[in-house]
Amino acid sequence: MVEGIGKGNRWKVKRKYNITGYLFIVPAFLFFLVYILYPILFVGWGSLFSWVNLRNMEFVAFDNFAAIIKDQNMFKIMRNSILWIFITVPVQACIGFFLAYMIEERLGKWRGFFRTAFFLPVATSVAVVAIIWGKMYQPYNGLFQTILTALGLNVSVDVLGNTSAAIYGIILTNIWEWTGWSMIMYVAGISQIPDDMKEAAKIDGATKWKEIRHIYLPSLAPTHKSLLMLGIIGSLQTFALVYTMTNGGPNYASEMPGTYIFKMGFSNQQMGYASALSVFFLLFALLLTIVQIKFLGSGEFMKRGEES
Amino acid sequence: MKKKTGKVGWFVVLTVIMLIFMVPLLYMISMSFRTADNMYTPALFVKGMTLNNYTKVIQENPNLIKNFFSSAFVTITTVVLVTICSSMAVFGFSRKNVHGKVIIYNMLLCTLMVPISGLVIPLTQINSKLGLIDNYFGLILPYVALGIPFAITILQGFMVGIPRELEEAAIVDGCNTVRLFLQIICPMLKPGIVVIVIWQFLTSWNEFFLALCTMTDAAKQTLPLVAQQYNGSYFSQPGALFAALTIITIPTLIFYMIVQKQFVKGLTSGAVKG
Repeated sequence: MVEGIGKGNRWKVKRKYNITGYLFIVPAFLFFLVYILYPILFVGWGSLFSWVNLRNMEFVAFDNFAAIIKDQNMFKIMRNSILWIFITVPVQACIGFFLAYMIEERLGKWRGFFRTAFFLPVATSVAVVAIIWGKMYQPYNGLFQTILTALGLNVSVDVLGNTSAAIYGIILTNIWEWTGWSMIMYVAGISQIPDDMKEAAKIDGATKWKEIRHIYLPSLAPTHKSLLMLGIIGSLQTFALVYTMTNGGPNYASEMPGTYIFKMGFSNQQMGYASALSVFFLLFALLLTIVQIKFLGSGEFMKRGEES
Repeated sequence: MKKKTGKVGWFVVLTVIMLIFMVPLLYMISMSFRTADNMYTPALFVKGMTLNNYTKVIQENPNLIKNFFSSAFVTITTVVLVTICSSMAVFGFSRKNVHGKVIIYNMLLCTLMVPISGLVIPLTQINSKLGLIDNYFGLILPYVALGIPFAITILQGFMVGIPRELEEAAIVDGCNTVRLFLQIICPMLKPGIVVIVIWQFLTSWNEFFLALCTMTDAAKQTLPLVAQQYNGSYFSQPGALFAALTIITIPTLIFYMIVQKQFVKGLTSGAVKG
């Protein structure tokens, strides 16, 4: 479709709908409709029934949601999700930032080497990471136990088998797996800080610490915000780590939304209840996102559409 | 001179942190070469390291190569589709007279805030209705849908940076929209496309939850599911288990090492702000 260039023509073209423009958007939008929007509506509809498969559904209205409120495990899951977010996000951001800062600003050569090394856990499959860490946590002959014994401590520590410690063991694994991602995002962020800003700080005689506080951290605000957003969503969709390392146990102590939905839907065959749980956690994610955007702004994510 | 010693100091600090950081991966590799006798000797290298675990795993699991190709097929198809759909979409969003594009754009981006765990139940139902259980496309299509939004945020940054004069010049030269897209826009988006290709490759290759609910046929399962199974079947043979994990992991690590330069270059090339 050749656009008109003559003066009279251009005015006419402007008022028209740009069919070609729409055609370019259609594939992405179709995927969105069929595999995101429809599933969301479907899970909302499915949450109002009691069912195992689609041929056999009994309308129960909001009974599933009433059951969620009474479910004793929900408290543990919410507590674990919040713990997960509050520990993972700041710790990853701190380690990620300082790694990025050291690599980008304090090293001459070897940058690529370190950037790659710290990113390798991200490139490793979560399922594999979960198995390795599970073995390291083992109370007999696990790596951590071996280290403790070598240090002369004669205690037997079963991190994943302990109701109060299991979730922290998994959170530590998660931090290890994803710190490389925060690092690489900060590397990208630091490369955006103009050199003259850094030089101005040096001329003013700012110490390294002041430089970090007054130049680096404020300039990286968009990175902080997107990492927070990804951290929140990441915690709510955690699955493989918990499934492999503890399967939510012992006694639901390390249960997370993903594993609980799986357990209810596929192991217990309560698809209606699992759908209601899905709706609940989707709304929870929405709520956290709204709170975040309200108080911190949306970072760079939502604005771009208006720029174009 | 002072500056030089400073840099060496930072190098030492980073090396120490990195070695601690690498412990789980080194542990996996070190264990995979051990026999049952020295399995738990606390050292990186022990006497009598062997390749037997690897030969054992490969001999006992003729399906492993099929699983490898399953992962490769799912991943490559997903990457191609995500790249095509998302670069077309950002081009569409940049066109004039596309009404409602801001709403569509923001709807797509809202997907970034949807945790996959909330979609697993309906996606599995859709797959079983469409007969896509145990079919590669039962994984590929949802992966593409879930991958497009992130790809769009990355590419949009590059799209905004393309000067309008360039497009107008191309149109004056008689270039139609399709050619404009293929010959002018796509090359300009290349650093961003590199980022999404690499990122999508890693996420699809490593995805576990949806794969677990969709793939039941042992020969068609992707590698993360296979790892999970070995965790059970080689429970009492850690050497073989870690050899299997190493076989599964090494390809992605090598892939990332090869492409990391392009990846970081794309991320730092000025358009990605977070």
